[in-house]
Amino acid sequence: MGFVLAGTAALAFVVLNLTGDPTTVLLPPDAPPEYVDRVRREMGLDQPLWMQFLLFVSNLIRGDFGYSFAHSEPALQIVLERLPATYELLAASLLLAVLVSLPLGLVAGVHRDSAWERLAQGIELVGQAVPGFWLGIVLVLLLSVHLSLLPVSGRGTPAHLVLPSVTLAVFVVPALLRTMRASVEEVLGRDFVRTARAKGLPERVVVSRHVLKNALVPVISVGAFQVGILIGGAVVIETVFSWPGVGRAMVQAIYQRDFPVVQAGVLVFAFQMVALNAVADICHAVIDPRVRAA
Amino acid sequence: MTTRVWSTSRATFVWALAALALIVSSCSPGPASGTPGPASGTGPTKPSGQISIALQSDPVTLDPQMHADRQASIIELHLFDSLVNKDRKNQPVPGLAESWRSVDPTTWEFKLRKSVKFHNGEPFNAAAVKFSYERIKEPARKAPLGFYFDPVERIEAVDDFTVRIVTNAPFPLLPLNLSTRGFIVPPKYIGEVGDEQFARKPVGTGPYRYVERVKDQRLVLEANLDYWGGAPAIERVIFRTIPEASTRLNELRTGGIDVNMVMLPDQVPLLKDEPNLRVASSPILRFAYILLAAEGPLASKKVRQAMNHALPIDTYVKELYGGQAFRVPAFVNPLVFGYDESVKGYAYDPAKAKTLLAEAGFPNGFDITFHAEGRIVLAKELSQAIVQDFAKVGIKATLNYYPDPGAVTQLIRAKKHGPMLMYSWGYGNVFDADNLLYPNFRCGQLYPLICDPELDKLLDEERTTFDQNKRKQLLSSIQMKLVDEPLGISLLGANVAVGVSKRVIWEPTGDDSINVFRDVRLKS
Repeated sequence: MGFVLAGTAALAFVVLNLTGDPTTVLLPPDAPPEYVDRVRREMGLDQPLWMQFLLFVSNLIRGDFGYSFAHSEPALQIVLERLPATYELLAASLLLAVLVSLPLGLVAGVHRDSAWERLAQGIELVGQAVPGFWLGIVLVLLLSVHLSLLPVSGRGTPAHLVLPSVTLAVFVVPALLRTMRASVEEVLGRDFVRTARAKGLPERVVVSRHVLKNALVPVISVGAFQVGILIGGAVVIETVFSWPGVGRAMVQAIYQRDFPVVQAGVLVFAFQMVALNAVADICHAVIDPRVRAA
Repeated sequence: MTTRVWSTSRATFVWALAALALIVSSCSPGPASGTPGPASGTGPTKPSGQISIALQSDPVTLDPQMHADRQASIIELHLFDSLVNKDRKNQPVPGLAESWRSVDPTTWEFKLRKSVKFHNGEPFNAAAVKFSYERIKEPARKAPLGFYFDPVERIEAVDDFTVRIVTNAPFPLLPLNLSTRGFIVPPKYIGEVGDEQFARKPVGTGPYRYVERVKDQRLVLEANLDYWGGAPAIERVIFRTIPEASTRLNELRTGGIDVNMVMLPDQVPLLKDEPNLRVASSPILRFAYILLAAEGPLASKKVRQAMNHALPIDTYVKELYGGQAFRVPAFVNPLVFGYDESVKGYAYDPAKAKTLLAEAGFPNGFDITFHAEGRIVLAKELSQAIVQDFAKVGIKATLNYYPDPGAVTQLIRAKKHGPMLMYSWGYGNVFDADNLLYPNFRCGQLYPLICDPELDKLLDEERTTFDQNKRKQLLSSIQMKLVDEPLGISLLGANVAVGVSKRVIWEPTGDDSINVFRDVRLKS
């Protein structure tokens, strides 16, 4: 984990500094050169890049992510304040995606060449092809503007969560659905399923007790990866729906060249991804006794 | 069934009550003295209603001294006052100072308004003014607008309600600059809670007080009933942060907001069929122009004149901007002090352009690098049109378009923005011609690509002249010189289009902002 975080921090630092000088955005364009130099000195931006990086790393080890250039507040605080909103959106989207993908994937996998399978394939195709940004705007036009059923944007009530979470769920439903469907098909061909059927077990027991658990193993791995996709998609969705999450704050920080906030956000997300993969491994162990035994 | 009959005595009582109400209301005190502007806040006795205004991004801070952020500058008009406020024509009027005068060329004296309090009850006085302006000048604070106060040498509190501001050189524009950048903050409150908390829960003397802020969502302000300029007409102002343009439009259409401060040009026609909405359009300060370097072919005055004749600026206004733009003939926005309408720009005459180029020794034109920045609406399309029109007279311009303003700023700081840069200027809401002319054409400043000693003399003189009539004449001479030489190509500004609910009575005033207390009313 330390290696991943260190590498992420270094990469973020280098890429951010390639975007340019923060004072070009933080100060008015007509700020005199001597004033700009003074501000750069105060912010430590006049130091060589390697020295700035060492200072950044030594502060990071002490848990100090620095102060936001734009907001004059601790950078980590800016990120952490907005995490609950992002988690709320991610959780709702993931839950929705799971509720659609897993049952439909199971049914489509069991009933091959049926209307269910064709429905699943259609959803995978359309979900993959439709841009999330466009879908969000279309849903708003239809459900908020013309039918006045849901709010256009913002956060506050459960109704505010519907459109953003549905739009974000579309980012990951195709992959989850396809994985579940393929996994069910693969498991159905295994020897232990033939044995269970030969023993006379009802089909619903075969599917629910034997097929489902085994089919979930690759889905969990893919699901953990899809959360990363969700986080990336959340940046777009948070902007479209004015959802006050970390993704939107980081986009604004990038435009403002607010390096400490971007670095803090990148590291928080990196930590989350590493933690999420650990959780996925634990889930594997819970579901698959072979992993526990190993 | 019993029918109630109004008795004569009851009817008389009702009429007497109505007459009494009429008499009492006509005897109500008028607006407090020094109320700024013609559309002052005092309307109904009690503020009522609320208005919701969409901003493009969340304000970076609510501390009026610690940002160069446009969104925050819209909000601070409501929370804070300066010594000098602005009227609807964006000219200085008394704010927290009842009057001011120039004691000598480097000293301004301000007589402060008495009995004014900050929202938390802290009294406003000379000590607050001294504190505020010394705070913004503190080097360690790194205030983004601090350098605008570099001409201020010191602030003296003569007595509780008299302040003198001493400058290091004659500075006739100090009052106008204070109206945009000199908001007064409460020393005691900041001392108690610190800068960070002040930025989170600001306290000012303005017509509205802070209620709550949900970051990246909304900021809620409520009427300051004790405001020295009279209680506001509207009880609540809500600023909503909505970054995406289509979302702002949809919020406007569904009534989620009343004012959309930033509409894209292609969204304007969509509101035509909306019965409850309208588009309020007006010229603003920002306009585009081209700076030219006196090097290579551009060293020739005839070449620069040819370049001016090569561009059909009136056609750009009509065709590219659909008429929602205005030509700026001589580098001075028509909205600001000093604009001389008698100074005309160049006529579009490509034949004359070719003749001038040939006379200058470039019958086949020449190649040139053209940098262009993207802050003005349709900047990319405008720069591409300019490239095409230059090509018609033989000037082959290679366009380097920069959508990121920071990249252009870096170019300018490195003095690599020549030989030709299309730039735009927003004046920082200071409605005076000097605000653009001095930084862009005075030799030694950041932007100029050509040095002209005669022009420098004129600029130095207008900047230090207190007589406004004389300043106007000097500014006229400068405009004529800029066109005659020419030192650049003055282009156009795009009107701002604001989406507004029809229940809101308001028209933009050219500062690309909104002042609810001064300018906005709601239909009952």
